[in-house]
Amino acid sequence: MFKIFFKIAARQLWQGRLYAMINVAGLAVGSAGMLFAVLYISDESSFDRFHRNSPNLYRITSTYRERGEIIRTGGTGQVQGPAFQARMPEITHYARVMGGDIYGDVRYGHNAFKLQLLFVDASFFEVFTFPLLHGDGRTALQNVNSVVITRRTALKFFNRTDVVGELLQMDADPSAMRIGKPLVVTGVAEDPPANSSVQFDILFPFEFMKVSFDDTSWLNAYLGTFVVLRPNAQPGQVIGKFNRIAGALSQTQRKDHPEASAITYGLQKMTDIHLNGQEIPNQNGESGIVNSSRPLYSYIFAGMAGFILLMASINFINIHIASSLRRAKEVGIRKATGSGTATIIVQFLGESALLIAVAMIISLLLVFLLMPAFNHLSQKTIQFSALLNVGLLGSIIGIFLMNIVCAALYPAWLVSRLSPVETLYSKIRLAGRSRMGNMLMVFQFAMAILLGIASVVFYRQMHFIRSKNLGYNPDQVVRIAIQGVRDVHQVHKRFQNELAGDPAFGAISLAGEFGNRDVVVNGQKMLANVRTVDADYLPMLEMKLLQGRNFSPAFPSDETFGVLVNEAFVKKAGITDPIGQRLMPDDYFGKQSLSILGVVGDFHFNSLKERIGPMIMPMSTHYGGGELWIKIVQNREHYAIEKLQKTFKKVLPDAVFDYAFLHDANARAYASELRWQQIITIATIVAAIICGLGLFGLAHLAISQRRRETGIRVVLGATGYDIALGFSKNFVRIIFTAILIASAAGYYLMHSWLDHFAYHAGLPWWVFVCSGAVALLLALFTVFAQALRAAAADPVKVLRSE
Amino acid sequence: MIQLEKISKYYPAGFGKTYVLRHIDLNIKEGEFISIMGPSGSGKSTLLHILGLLEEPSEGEYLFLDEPVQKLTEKKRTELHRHHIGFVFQAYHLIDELTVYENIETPLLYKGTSSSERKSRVAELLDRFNMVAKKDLFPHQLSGGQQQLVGVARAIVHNPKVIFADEPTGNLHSEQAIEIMELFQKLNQEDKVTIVQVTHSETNASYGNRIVRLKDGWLA
Repeated sequence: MFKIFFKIAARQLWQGRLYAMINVAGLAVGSAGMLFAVLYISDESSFDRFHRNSPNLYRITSTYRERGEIIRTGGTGQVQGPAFQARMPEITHYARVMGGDIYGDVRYGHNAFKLQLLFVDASFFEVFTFPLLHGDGRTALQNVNSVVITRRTALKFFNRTDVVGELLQMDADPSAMRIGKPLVVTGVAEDPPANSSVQFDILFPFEFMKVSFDDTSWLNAYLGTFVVLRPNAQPGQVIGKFNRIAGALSQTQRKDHPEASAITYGLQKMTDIHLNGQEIPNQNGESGIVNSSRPLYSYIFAGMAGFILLMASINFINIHIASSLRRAKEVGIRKATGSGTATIIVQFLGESALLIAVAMIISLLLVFLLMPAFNHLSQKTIQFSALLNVGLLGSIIGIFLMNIVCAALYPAWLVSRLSPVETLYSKIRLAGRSRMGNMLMVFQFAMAILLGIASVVFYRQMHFIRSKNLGYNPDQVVRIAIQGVRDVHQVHKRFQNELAGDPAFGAISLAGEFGNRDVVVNGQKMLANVRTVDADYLPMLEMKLLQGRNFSPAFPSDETFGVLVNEAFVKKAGITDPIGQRLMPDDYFGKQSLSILGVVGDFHFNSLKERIGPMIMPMSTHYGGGELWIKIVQNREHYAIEKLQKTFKKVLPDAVFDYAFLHDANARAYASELRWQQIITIATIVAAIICGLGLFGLAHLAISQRRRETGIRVVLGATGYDIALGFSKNFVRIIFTAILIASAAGYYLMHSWLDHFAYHAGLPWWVFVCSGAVALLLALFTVFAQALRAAAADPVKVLRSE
Repeated sequence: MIQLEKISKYYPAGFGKTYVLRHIDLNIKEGEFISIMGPSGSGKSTLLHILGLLEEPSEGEYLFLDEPVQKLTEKKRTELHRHHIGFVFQAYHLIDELTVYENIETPLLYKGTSSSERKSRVAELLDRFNMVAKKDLFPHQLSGGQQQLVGVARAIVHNPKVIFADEPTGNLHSEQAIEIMELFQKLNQEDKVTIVQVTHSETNASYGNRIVRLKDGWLA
């Protein structure tokens, strides 16, 4: 019995090998996508689980009110950790972590590298689980000038890892300068795993940072405080104690800052942080947490993979329904000879299972082959062997079963219900036009068209971003960072001298970005972005001066009293005659007011996701900090960068040459959009191929089942065109319905996506028309090509073979 | 109306050719009822297919309504086909998915006849063949004789000048066969339709007014 089933299955597959291939290809691609989604999700949820303390490991969160908005962040100040632990037995350990986006130049001999720094309490290795290769974690960070480096860092500097006792230098760091001693390597840690939210190249004791930055305020929130609670502690009660203790200790400080008095504390599990980063607004990644993600990405990923798998299943169902009618006779004979419905279902399911198993094997192969590309796209470092994990192995079986249920069950059930009399005496019409099949195809095409719309909209928006007039010209401008505490004016001047007369260089400007700061103007306090610039800055970037004048060496007082503002600032401040108006920047920029010299046309200093806000530009030659902005003559880039590197080595011999073209730096803001654009484009292509294959299979099947009819029609005077039109009618109806559904869904979804951008390319009607037209043309081409071939077949032969 | 001059049909076989028809000269005048007879494999059906423009001869000249068929474009040939030729098959060759009504209507659709004209023409034929009650049935719901009746109705619905019938009664029992042959005779005599049939049966041939005999591809 079983042998016969197997024989029939094998022969059936061979006979319908074209359809089997379409089905296997679709299911393999769909399943591979699903496996990638599972890998992605399991990687996302694996973050930070490797810490031994992870069941009891929390981060203290702060909730406060700023400008009427309630903000919940993962940040705290320096005082909360020690104050809470001293008063609460529930906390066994705490560690403050500051860093994430903080980098510094560390040097050994003449070898300097830009490293990711983390300032941590000595208890770091008791709170987190980062194994040490050398050194003792309990004592490693006890001295103010001791540091722990990672294996990677050790290899970079020393080409070996047993480097405890070696000395490192940090030249321009305010703390290192005050301590006046070299850094001593006291430990070498294993590199943090990729699924860790805490990443570092080198660890400094918290005391090291406090040498130059000691902060006793309860009202700040910038670094991360992590606590290990006793296993029996109740987080709710702990939070209550936090707030009581903080309330008592910060009373005097709150009196001075009544607007900050609403601050309350909470706890967030370490393992929840990756998918809910609670980044601190206006603080540059100092909370110790990096690479945080959103669960939305997992959902979108899984959703797209699921849809592609569903599309492949729909092909499977449609082709099976259509071709199973070919097997109606077999079912009839089986039933007439006494087979039950269940046996027939099992037989057909078995055949499908064989096909699906082949598809699964191919999908594993695909996953193996495409893993590097996937890692590149998703910015992960997942290994193929991750699939061998028990849970993921289960998901492979799960996908296999899902395929069977989604794709194979319905056709098998449908075939099993055929009545023997009807099939044996050919009394049923075997046209294969089932309503269910049509609905599934509508859904399938709607999905493909929707993806098409999305990829066009993404592409347009990205193009818009690339080609948008930013209000300045970023072409050929290079930024060079000057790390640490250095005399930037001295560096600036030396660069100007070294490069003077070299035709490869245009202006050499000093400019610094200081983020959003308070400014008092016109009697009101407002937030404005602060950027220090010099006289060369505006002309170099081809910014427009709308009123007044630029800074000028002819007026020495510009340095101390002048300021430029942008259009948005004038508007926000509500000043009608800005030139000569006075404004008061915050303490860092001195205690005297500045006078507005000129108004600069608005330019996009942030990404296009944000509206252009108010900005003030004091003169960089008067204040500390800043970077070099250098214009390079076209086609001399290669030479210029080499020359800049040489000059940098000469001016700052022990610092790291860190440069970026303005274009690349701008593009970084859209890295995630670009990645999604690629993912959606790939999904669209895959979806289009699967839809196309399905349509090809169905059309092929329909036409081969209606060869006789085609022959008759040709004899009756039909041309190939008439025949093709007849076959296309149903498909055209299906695709039109799909276009309508996809356009409605696409309009809604794309609108909400574009709303993330303060400036976007819009959503013109032709995007929908074009996506639909492409789908329609592809479908018609598929059907027409086959129908014309069928019509060209010799009708005499077809009719005679009946 | 139909003139064949030295028509031959052969297929390549090995290094030589296998002839199916050799040097056929044949003249068919409007209003004739011709029966092509001969043993199996004598080339009857091939001759009929060539006459009906379904196959092309390998050699010779074929004038249909005084037009040299070989020189016509594909489009023109389809035109001729649509307007002047009707086919009846031994296996009926109705379209399973269409009703009786729709089957009869099909040639008019390809000819581009207007909807109202189609309706009246199909209704007329249904009436004439006593099939009004069956117009919404599908082919498999009819007996063989009835199916062939539909086949004939379909062949004449567009008022062709000539009907080619390939053993039209081959699948029918004698009573039904008589019915169909009488119908052919009536069409020939009353409607002046030219009829060319391939048949094995002398009885059927006797309904016509001329017999063309073939043997091994030669006119006998």
